Amino acid sequence: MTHAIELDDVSKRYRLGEHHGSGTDLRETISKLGRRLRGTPPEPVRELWSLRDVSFSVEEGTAFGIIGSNGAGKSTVLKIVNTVTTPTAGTCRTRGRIGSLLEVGTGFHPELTGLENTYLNGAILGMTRRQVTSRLDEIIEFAGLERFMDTPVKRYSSGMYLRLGFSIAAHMESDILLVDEVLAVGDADFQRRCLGKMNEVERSGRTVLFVSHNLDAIARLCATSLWLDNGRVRRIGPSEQVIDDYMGSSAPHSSGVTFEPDETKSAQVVAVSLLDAEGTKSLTLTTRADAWIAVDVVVNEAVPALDVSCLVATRTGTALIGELLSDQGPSDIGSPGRYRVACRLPAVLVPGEYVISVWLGTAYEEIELHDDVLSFFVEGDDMGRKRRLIKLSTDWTTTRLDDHLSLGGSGS
Amino acid sequence: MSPSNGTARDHDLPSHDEWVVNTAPTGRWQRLHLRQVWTNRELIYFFALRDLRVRYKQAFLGVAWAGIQPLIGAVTFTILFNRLGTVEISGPSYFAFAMVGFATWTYLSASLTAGAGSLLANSSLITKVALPRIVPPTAALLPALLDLGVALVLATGVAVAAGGGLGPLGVLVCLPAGLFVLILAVSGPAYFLSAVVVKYRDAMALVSFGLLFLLFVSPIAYPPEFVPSEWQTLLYLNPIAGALGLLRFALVDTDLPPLTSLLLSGGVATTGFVIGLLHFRRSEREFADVI
Repeated sequence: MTHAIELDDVSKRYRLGEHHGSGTDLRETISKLGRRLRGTPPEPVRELWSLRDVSFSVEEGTAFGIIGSNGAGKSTVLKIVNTVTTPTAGTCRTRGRIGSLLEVGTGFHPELTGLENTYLNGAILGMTRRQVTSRLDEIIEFAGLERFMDTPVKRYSSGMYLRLGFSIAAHMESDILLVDEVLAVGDADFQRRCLGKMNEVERSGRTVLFVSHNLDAIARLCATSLWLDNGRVRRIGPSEQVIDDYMGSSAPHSSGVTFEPDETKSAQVVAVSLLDAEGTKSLTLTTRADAWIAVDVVVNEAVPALDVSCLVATRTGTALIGELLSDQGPSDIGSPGRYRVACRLPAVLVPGEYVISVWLGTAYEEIELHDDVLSFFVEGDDMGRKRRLIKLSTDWTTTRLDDHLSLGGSGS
Repeated sequence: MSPSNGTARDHDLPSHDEWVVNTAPTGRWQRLHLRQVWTNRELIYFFALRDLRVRYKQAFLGVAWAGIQPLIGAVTFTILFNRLGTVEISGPSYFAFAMVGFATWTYLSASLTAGAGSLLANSSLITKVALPRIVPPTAALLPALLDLGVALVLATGVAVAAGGGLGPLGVLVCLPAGLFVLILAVSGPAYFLSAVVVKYRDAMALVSFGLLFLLFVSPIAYPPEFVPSEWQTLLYLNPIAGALGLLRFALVDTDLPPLTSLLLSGGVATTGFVIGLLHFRRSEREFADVI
């Protein structure tokens, strides 16, 4: 197989601060001179290595994923591949025409109509007028904007804007397609079509370089992935393995909170932590597996019917889960000692950030309330159902009701 | 074919078997790579068209402005220099003469301002798309040509009505030559300044100051004969003087400046163009990081 993209020890340095480049402007020159006269050493240049010795290659006709936390250098890789910017050291080589789905709609002019913007945007992306004309019907149909092509895009909704931008970019002829987080936007139906389109692109023998936080989408689309960590290559390999490693690392092992023991209290919560399905502490869960909220309780003097409650709320404060230990029968933690109380958190949460609160008390008395004591993330695919708060794998049944009616009908 | 090392991809360039190599900028002078302007002509045209369309959207008078502006300018010049003062010219109509001057200066002013700010105005494209960097400043030179054309046609009409004649030498040689020198004279500084403005925004202030200076040192409201003969060389060091001489000879029937003066203007315009474009080429690969 031949390669479509090759990066060889690519590094990229950005200078921080307001002024960039060689330091030849008047202000810097004066301040340098002043320092020399006073004999103080020159101010060190603050710089940031966005990429450090990154090497990888992508085979022609395959989809390649890049994952990593914010600021890991993912977008810089795309910019270098796309020749928007140059590496500070190393070589990037690409073969074939590059199309990009970075920041859809870049270059749209609000005063121009959808049609005018289609031609302009097509030209910016490297299409000739004839190429745009020959695909115009497809572009408009995919965007679903048949009735709005003569309307200035300043009157478009953000969704229409996005659909047109994606549609133009997706219909350009390119050998390499760069995709940066476009799937984070748009409604469910449109996201599905975008993913379908990218699949189609890959199947047609073109190369796809895909940057996303949506790990499920990466796993589905890309056979091989690269994990960038602080500008360095942490791992390259089959997507499933790379994603597993990445997920494992993003959860710090010290996750959880502890409280100073206070013997004046009759009973006390001393630690709260979140355990994933394997029983390891983690603050990042998947949408697929159950987890446990573990509450460590110290009872100093006997408290009859001591009860624990775990609450899970969304980041915005909507309470989703509130369970009591006593819901499943009389509690058995009333006598002095140290206990671990664990509450199963079924895999019902959709991707997002959540906060845990813990309550300790009896039916008559609140001993402790730890509001928002721990926050955690659920990662995964929201399946495009953006508005739901929980997912339940409920049962469905189907029963055919019209059997007796169809007897005398079409007979099919 | 050799791999293309350097600037953002030409849109027609990468064939399937050709490697595009992206490495660190060397800081050395690059070649002018004028072919890139030609290969991206359609994109340049779309950019210019965009600016024109946007300008005339939701405008009541629309394209009529292209004629109104030079008329008002020429009226002002006529009252100031021809009625209050007594400026004598070699052609039949001072009004037509002033109109060519005013329209030329308007083109210069509009194109240089637009060109110098063109990269900044398209910064989102510069940082996100591999748009050939030469496109925005080149396209910025085009929309004002429409106004220039309208004004030159009006001025020619006025001159002919006042008894001026049109000759083949003028229309076929001097008119294109004059336009060429004018565009060349504007494009050099436009390329240079657009690259400078990416790094130092205060260069835009320099543009308006420079334009004011040019308004006085160019024979816009006054004829070149107004300047003493020992200063003539200095006058034609300014390529606008040469361009005006050619355009006025072609359209409003004034005397053609001496060939040496025209060559001097053309030479200065070409030198400025080469220097401006060289600077642009040397700095263009860092635009996305600096802007």
